[in-house]
Amino acid sequence: MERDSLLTTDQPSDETLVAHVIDGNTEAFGALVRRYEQKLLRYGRRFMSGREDIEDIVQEVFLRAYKNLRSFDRSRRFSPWIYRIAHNSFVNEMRRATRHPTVTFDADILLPNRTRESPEDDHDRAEMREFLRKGLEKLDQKYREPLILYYFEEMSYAAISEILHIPVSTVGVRINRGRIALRKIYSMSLPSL
Amino acid sequence: MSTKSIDQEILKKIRERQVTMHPTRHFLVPRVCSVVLLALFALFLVLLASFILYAFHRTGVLYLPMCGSAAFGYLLHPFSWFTGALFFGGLVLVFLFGCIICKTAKFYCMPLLIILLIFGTAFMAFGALVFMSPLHSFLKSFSERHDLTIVKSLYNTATRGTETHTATGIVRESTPDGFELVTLSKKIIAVRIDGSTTFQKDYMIHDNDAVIVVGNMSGTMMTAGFVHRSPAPLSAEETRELSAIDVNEDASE
Repeated sequence: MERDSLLTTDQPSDETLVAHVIDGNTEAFGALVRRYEQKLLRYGRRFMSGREDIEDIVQEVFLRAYKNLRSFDRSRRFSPWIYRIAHNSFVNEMRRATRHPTVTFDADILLPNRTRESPEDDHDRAEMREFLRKGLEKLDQKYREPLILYYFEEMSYAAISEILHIPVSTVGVRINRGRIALRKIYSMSLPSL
Repeated sequence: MSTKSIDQEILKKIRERQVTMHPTRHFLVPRVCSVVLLALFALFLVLLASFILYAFHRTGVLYLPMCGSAAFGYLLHPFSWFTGALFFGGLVLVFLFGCIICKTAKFYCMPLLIILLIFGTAFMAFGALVFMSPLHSFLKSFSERHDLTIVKSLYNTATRGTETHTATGIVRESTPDGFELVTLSKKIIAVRIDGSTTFQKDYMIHDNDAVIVVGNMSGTMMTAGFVHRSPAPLSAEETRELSAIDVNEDASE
């Protein structure tokens, strides 16, 4: 799950806030929005770099979340659920803008892979973030999103799997391939840096 | 729009009821419908698997591997276009089912191949259970009794048209040079035995035995390559019915 979302005991959890909203406490939804707006704006800006209307799209994400709040399974985590809505909205917006159908089937999801989540030290993570900042736009979309969620949103493979609706092992494969592609992009751009 | 105002904008819309939460039934109805449709789809696939097994059983294909490694060469020939189409159509439908399950349920966290293996095995296992039940025999005889054209032709097409290479039926008029085989689809085939014919180990052919014959067909004459006792004996009623078929009667359907 999201590694940076550990809450102190005096703060209600996301799931508790959802329960309050469903029980009629509208203000609790405001708390959820405040908790996630910066995260989703950051995610959207990285995922759809160059778009001016990220804030409008993120607002739509929250409105969709509110409308569909009763479909949220309270035994699960809220964070992947709202990120899933954001992912769908961003993909739809990109599809609308480019008028290109996004790839819906990928051989990666067919076969089991042996990739496991391996802890990285702070230096490696910082280095990858640096590579990502410089080479993100040149990276294929299917690698870009798992890398953003892993390195910037600090999601686990399981949470990314839940957001993107792909097998956990595929998340690992895409992150590994994305890292390799990023290193290649970075090394190719070195002379011009 | 200012970033700071997102929560205020949203709360304003909620308070003014420009945006309302969908009631539970809004999600419940499509969910129930999709579960019911998926259950019906799964049931259809189980019935299809059992029907393919039934067709393989009736044409003897199911038991070909028991005739020894040399009989494997015949394995592809007995596929009638219809059974072959059903088989490959079934594979496509299982793939489709796997993809739908990935989209609608929480199976996305597993690789598609694993899901296909799990559901494919489940459909075959339940299909085998249905195949072992008297359902298909009942449906076939019911369709014949009540002249249900579509169901009747479905069963007849699936269990016929493969007898150029393999046939299952009962032995009649056996001699050292051959015998008559009354097939399950009530055709009469003259089976010739020659020096190259292989019999199941320790098996001596007798009249009224249920056998599988694999060989080359020419007209109504088959030169037997392999003769194997059927692992699925016929019921007394079926044996009686097939024995009673007249030699001169054109029993082909």
